[in-house]
Amino acid sequence: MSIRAEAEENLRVIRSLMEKATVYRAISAEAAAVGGVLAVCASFAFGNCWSRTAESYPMTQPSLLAFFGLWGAILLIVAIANLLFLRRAALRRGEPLFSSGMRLALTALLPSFAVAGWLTSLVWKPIWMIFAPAIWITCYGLALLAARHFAPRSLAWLGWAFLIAGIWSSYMAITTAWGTLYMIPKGRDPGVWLAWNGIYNAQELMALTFGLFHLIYAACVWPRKSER
Amino acid sequence: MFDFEKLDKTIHEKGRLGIMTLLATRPSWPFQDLKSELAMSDGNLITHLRTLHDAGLVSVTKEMLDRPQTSYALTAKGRKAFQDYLAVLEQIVKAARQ
Repeated sequence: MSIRAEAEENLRVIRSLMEKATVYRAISAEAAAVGGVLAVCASFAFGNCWSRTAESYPMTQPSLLAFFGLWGAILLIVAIANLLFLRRAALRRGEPLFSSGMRLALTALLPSFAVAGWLTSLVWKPIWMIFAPAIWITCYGLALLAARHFAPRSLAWLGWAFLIAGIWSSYMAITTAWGTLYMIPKGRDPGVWLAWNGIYNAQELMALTFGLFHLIYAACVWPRKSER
Repeated sequence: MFDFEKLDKTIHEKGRLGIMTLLATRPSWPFQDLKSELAMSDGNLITHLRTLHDAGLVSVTKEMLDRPQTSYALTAKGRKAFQDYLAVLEQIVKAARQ
């Protein structure tokens, strides 16, 4: 090998190793597991609870605060858990929590999260609740894909799964809304009927995506003992 | 004509180049992380790290977390040597293109 070829080869090795070493996992496997379990449990528990409420008080609107409050609280818990797990991993690597990788990840993730927040404020009405999960799932998928250039491949796959599920959820939300409006039982208020159908649909979507997808992701990337 | 003697022979070896590159990306690296990232055997990695340590390019820290952990970091001399080595490689590529 000529000295030039050797130099180029060494520079290539250095570049690829540096790229590999600067890969940043913005969502830890442990936090994904926590989020997944919470999302599945909350979907089932509150789905049942709301189901009973609907039977008892079929003429009343579902509570906006209960629905958004529940998912807002879960988001907060998982975000805090993720920060703690990332901090532990950063300490182990001898890095600060707000490392260049973390800053890069936040820069990539925040625009999609901001859009999700803005769109959520637009659907802050009982009859629009059916669209909230579609917005969250799509924006979360976009956020993960925005970080794919420096994230491990598993996070990019998770992003694609959420994006596809988000598009499918939007379609489901629209068809459910239209279908529901054509099948309103006699004496029911269309708005209340649509809101209740929306909330059941939303709970199922949240369990499937934020629950199941995160559990699968956690199972796939759970740190092996040798890597800890 | 380029002076190839400028190339630091301690760093130029493939295994040690990998170690120096990884150490340049973070303040410190635990032994197990270096091993899994470079896919080297314990013995091979220890030998290279010892060579780099003897040359004053790498420092070693042993600490007790939940279990004993040995971490490695570049010394100031090591960081300078790595930067110089990179500059030499770039010069070689540039010189060959002209």
